[in-house]
Amino acid sequence: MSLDKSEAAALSRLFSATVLRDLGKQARSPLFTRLLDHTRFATYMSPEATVGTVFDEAFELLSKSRFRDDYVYRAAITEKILLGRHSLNTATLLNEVRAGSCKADVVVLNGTATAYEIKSERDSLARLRNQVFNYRQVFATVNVVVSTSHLSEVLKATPEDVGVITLSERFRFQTSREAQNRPERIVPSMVLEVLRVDEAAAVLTGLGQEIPAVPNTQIRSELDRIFAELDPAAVHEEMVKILRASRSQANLATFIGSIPASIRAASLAAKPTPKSRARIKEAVDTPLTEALAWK
Amino acid sequence: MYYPYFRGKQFELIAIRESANLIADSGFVPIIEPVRESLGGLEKALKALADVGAEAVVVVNPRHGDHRENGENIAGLLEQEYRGNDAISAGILLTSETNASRALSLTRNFSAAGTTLIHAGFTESRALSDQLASDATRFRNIFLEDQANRLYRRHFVGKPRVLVGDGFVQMKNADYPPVETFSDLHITYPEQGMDGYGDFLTVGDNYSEGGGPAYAVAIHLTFIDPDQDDAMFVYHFKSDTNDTPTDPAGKFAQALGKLVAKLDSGNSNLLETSAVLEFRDLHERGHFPGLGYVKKLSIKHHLETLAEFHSANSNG
Repeated sequence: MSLDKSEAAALSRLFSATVLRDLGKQARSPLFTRLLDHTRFATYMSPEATVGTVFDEAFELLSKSRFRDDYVYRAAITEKILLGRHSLNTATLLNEVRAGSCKADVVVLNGTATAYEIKSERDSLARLRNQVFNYRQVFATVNVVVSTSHLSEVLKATPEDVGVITLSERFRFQTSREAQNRPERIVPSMVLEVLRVDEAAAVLTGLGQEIPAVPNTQIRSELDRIFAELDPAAVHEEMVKILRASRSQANLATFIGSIPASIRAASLAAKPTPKSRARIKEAVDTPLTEALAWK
Repeated sequence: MYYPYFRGKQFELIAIRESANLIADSGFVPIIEPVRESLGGLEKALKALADVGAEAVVVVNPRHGDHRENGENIAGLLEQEYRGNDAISAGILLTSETNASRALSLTRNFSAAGTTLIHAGFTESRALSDQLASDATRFRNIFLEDQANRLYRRHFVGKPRVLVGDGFVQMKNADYPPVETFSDLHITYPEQGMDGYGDFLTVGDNYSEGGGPAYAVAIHLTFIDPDQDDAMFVYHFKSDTNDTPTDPAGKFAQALGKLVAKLDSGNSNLLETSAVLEFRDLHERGHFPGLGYVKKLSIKHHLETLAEFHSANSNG
């Protein structure tokens, strides 16, 4: 079947935080079923289909349609870079990371910190310059992942050290310009904004600096003062090391390996507890015929 | 008397627990709508109240939070721990989504004397009161002011009758004015034919789950103004640097600085409650105890302010 616009919008919401939260809390999601009802999708599925196969088929359709959304790109980064090139034991993925006045869509921490800004066929490029300007002050490597329709404009609009990657119609990454790893250009006080107080303290300790002994209402401004004096590359390296440990997703590795590929990115973002993981598993194994009554 | 309406979030339940003696001594009756899946905090709060002989109403069919679909665990807790204790009783929430037959079956399941009907948008008042007939007088009636109008209230005359108004106008923290009116129900409830009144404390009726990082930090403190016929007002002390969601501790210090300056001005009308003493101590130590803790102090201050108001009135 080929999707129309409203069907694509419904399928895209299948991978939303709301559906994942429902599944994690109750092992069922009324929204999932209502969204399917908006499409002709259920009638195309085989009688043996489960919720998991519905997710995978829906993703397949979305990723090949004219309506590829942000999630298709997010899932590609999760699958091909985080889990493909690295693993949850060696790398950590963060969503929506603050950088100045913007938020980076995805950041992967392994030996360095790499920000990915997604510009799908639905996104406008109006904010791109400002976003890239901010990301380069926080992350050593910056990539823009784009649909081919945006490629030439993005290549022109971004500096040489910013990588540009396209996601082909066959769901493959192609690097049009390799990103450069430039930790020396980051601004330590902007990195500080990404960190919790305990993480910032750990960065200081790692750099052999004293942690200021002030009441907690003054700690931020004190840290701000100290970070401003630090060496950018050293701060970046320590930040990567600390965040990779403090935000580690290694405990989700088995769970992520056990669920359909299409919902891995959404499941990582949901940070499920052990109980929620079991419920999500139970939900994806539910036969579709049963799930159609989840309303 | 006073019926504060709590959504049973953690800091609200701790505020109840720590105020149990005050609640008992003042004859306040907290209404608690449990919203969290885990009932541990609720159990502790109820035990603290029961130990000092305070009353409480526990909503057995919450409309918000984790028990929205199914309140059986709450009913089970009441049945198991408090069957023999009339001080801890069930409250039935009647909303716009409750139909008359559902309402009636709830009143049959929770038929103990002292069960409370909470009228919160229910539309079939006539049908329900006809069905309840003479049984209607066994129920205590609580009306949410903006969700049960005067004509509606006529159908439920069983005593006592309590009017709960939401004095707290919720908005984005950065948008609060420095001071605004809160409520005059603590004075005017008898004129409205009521035996008691209530509010949603300094939290408000609007329910939201957790929520994202705060751009602004605000401390809400209520006070009674003797120069304005003892009406209640609320101060909103806000932080100044509200453009990013970073450094809540530093923002708290800014808001707290304003609170202490107002207290020290000598004309704040703020009562020096145990919560205010804690705020002064936090100010001296430059310490930020977390946003939930700040909410708890704000609630305790509100309870103590009304307790003091009623005790002064009954003595004088």
